[in-house]
Amino acid sequence: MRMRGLSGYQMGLTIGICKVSWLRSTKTAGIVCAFLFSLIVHGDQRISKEPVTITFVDPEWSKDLTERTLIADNRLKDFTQQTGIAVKHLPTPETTLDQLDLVRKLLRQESTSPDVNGVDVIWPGVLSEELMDLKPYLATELSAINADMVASYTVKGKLVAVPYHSDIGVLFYRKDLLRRYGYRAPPRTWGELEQMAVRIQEGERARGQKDFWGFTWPGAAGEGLTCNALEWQIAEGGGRIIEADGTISVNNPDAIRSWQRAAHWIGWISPRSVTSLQEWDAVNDFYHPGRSAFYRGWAKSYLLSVRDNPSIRDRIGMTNVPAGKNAQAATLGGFGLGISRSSRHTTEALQLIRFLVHQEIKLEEARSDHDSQNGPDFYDPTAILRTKRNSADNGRQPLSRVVARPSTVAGERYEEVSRAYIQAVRSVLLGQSRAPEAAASLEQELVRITGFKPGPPSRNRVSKETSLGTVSRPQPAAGSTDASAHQDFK
Amino acid sequence: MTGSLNTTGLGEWLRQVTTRPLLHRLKIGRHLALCFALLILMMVICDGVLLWQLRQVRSQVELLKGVDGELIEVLRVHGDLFSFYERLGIAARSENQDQLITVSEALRADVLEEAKRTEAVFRHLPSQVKVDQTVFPTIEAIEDTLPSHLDAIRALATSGEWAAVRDRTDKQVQRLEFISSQLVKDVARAVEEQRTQAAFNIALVEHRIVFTAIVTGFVTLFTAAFFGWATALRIIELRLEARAQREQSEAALRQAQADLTRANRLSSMGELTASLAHEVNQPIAAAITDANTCLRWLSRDQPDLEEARAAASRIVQDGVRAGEIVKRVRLLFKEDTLQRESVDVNEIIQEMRLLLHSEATQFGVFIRTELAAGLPQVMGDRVQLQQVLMNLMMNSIDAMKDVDGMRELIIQSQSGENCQVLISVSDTGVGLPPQQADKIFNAFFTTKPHGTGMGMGLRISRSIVESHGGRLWAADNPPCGARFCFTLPTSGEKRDSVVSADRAEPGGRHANKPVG
Repeated sequence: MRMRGLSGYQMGLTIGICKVSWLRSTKTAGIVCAFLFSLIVHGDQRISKEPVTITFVDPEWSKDLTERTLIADNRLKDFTQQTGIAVKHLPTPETTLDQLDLVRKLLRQESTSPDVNGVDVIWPGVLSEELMDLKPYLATELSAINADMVASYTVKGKLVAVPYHSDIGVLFYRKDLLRRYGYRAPPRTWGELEQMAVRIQEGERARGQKDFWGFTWPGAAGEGLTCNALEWQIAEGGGRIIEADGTISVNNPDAIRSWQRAAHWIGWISPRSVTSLQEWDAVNDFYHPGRSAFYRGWAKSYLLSVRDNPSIRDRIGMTNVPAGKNAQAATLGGFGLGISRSSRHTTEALQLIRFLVHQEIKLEEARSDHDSQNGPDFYDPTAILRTKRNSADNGRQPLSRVVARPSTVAGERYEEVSRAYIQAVRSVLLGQSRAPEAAASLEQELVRITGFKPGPPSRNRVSKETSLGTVSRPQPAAGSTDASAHQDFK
Repeated sequence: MTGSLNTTGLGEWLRQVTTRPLLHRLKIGRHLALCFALLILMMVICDGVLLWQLRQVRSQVELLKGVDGELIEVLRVHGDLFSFYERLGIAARSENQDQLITVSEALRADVLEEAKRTEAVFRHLPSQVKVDQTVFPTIEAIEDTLPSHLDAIRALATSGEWAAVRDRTDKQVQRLEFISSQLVKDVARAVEEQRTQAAFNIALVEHRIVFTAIVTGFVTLFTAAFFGWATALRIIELRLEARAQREQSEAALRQAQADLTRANRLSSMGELTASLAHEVNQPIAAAITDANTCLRWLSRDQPDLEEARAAASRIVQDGVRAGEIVKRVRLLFKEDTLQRESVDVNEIIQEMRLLLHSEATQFGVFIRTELAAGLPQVMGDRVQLQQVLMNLMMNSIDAMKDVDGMRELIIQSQSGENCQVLISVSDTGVGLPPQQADKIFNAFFTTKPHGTGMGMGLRISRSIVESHGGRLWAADNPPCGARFCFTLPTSGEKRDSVVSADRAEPGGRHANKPVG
């Protein structure tokens, strides 16, 4: 009895103790459980947070394996270093029409849509639906950029892209050949060019280079041909295909005459294969094998090539596109940077655009400072489109008149307009149809496409164009003064 | 919001659960119930985590599959591009316009097919595969660019510009190949990263499963152990309570029994009072007679001292006899204190015979004893055993009161089986009530006229005998009367031999027959 009582008492005591500690241990157990559970859940994070990567369609990148790609790559490397945002280039097709096809395709597939797109100056109207309005974000940058340029990227008040690289058509010439045949200056008119080309061609062929031609230009079906043909017909007073007021002016005698003249070049001073040369083939052909005396190209490509390969400067010069009886004109080219509306990294894309535009502005300011101190070493005709040039204008060539293709007025229809125009011009160049018929059917086609009315070209319109660009002369490096070359521009 | 709802719901549930009678008795309080809920929660969590981890592994496997698909596709595109470049290069070097056109037609068809295939592959990649967002556009750009290259090359070939064709093939198409090989590198790196990530994730899953299993196992084990321990403690507590209660009630029962026994004894003694008075009176009367004789002898002129002494010593004997009777009676009246001692059964039988002598004589009953000599001593309470004998003998005398013919009470003692002592009390009375032989030991069963018996005598006698480890039973005593037998274990016998005594009962009975 006594034993039992004792053990019972002990047991009761133990239960009592455990009940007391239980109250406290519930909370402890709860905390421990929560901790353990958090340990289980812990570790579901990725090892590291992926840096943001944005994609960039840069029309200047990846056309070939030249230095140009490296410059673009280095710029992006700097950007990545500064911001931690990785940028990946997408390869772009060679011609601007193919580029448009790809960019439009990618933009419409939301998942693959590139963040930053190079938008050719002629495409804002076509791509305006797929790109976001940049006006609210880039006020500071825009103030430093030529307002006309900004306007050309604005569609119905929406800034589709920020002007980035501008370009104008220029005429390249072989300095050595001009000197050899006694010319002190590059041709100023198409007539002069024809004369010089024939003479040099004959001379060079006599010297043994049988496949030498006087003048090459990109005649393959592409925007390059549009630019060339537009320059020809404006020079002759043939209008701008579609005038700024929406008049379809392409069917006029001056334009027809300018096409006929170009068709006449083929087989005379230009090779037959000129109609299958894309811009890339033509410029390659001109730079490297040196089979022609004159070449109609773009200022930017020359500047970049010279930067790549300074020896080009000694051989090749750059001047305004020749004038015709009416005027002289160079086509405006280049591209701006737009942001895809379905981009998931808008902030980063804006950062990239700001960075690139700032770099560009800085570069041009540095260049203009350098020029004002040392005299123009290397004048970039494309730069004037961006920064105010108020100095170092003395002793310069007459300014080249810059004309824009009728992309603004045609808007989203411009692609069709351009394709129809290219086809008409090519049919004339290839001798498939006579120029007047081609012009007449093109006029009908354009009426069908745009719904605009045909009419005569407004000749005055060209003179109204702001004279924006001028063509530099490549100046020899100090010490190797080339007096005659210097004289060319006096 | 839902959290507070849940907790109030849980609280309600707990309250309901803990107020159920069984759980209430087990004192499963809120904490223990919470403990139980925690157990279930842990199991659910463990299962959930394991399922989740299995899903992770599956998704990682699918990821790896998709990633491989991506790499294979990119490699395929690169390989195709390489062969494109090769074929185009051969055709370009041949400077054969027809061959180049044929090749370019074939290549164009190939490219278009490839483009479709690539798109299909990329569209069907598992969603968790992190495809570098440049991969598909790059491939698309390459595949879109190739046809226009073919167009350009064809145009150049048609116009005989073979140098330009070669230039284009070597620089432009090669450029694409360069881009695609860059792409292969990038994708391979990305795939490697994803593989590493997947491997890391799978390792993480492994760790998590092991960790979860161990932690949940331990927590469950500890919670269950605590739960079990607390419940077991509570059950032990309940058992102890029940035992204490039982002991208490048993003690009360014992007390009641003892009281009853004593009451029975007292009532028996009450019934005996007249005969006891007579019994006591006898020696006193004898003593008085002897005293007178003694006086007479002493008061003679010549006192006969011899006779007087003899008379005086008879007085002393009478006094002693009277004193013994009184002592015995007093013993029977004494309060119970269980005192086990070695008792000689024959002695008790003789004492009770003496005690009940006058009662028996009153009703003309002759008491005869047949006692076996040399019986072993019995461990027991003398008074209680006397009470048993008194009950049985009183019953027998009662049963013979109204019987004509021989009235004989025979008390026998003998050695029984298993070192037991068998005592039997036989009478020639009315005998046992027919068909009620088994009921006579029940409490409050009596055959006596109303008011004369409590119906407790046999019940008490049986409980006394059983408390001594013996058995008490009744049998007929042919030709008439009843016979009550009881066994008592001797001091040499263990008390646990009750069972064997039971088994020996019929034999014992049989053995008794010749004696009866």
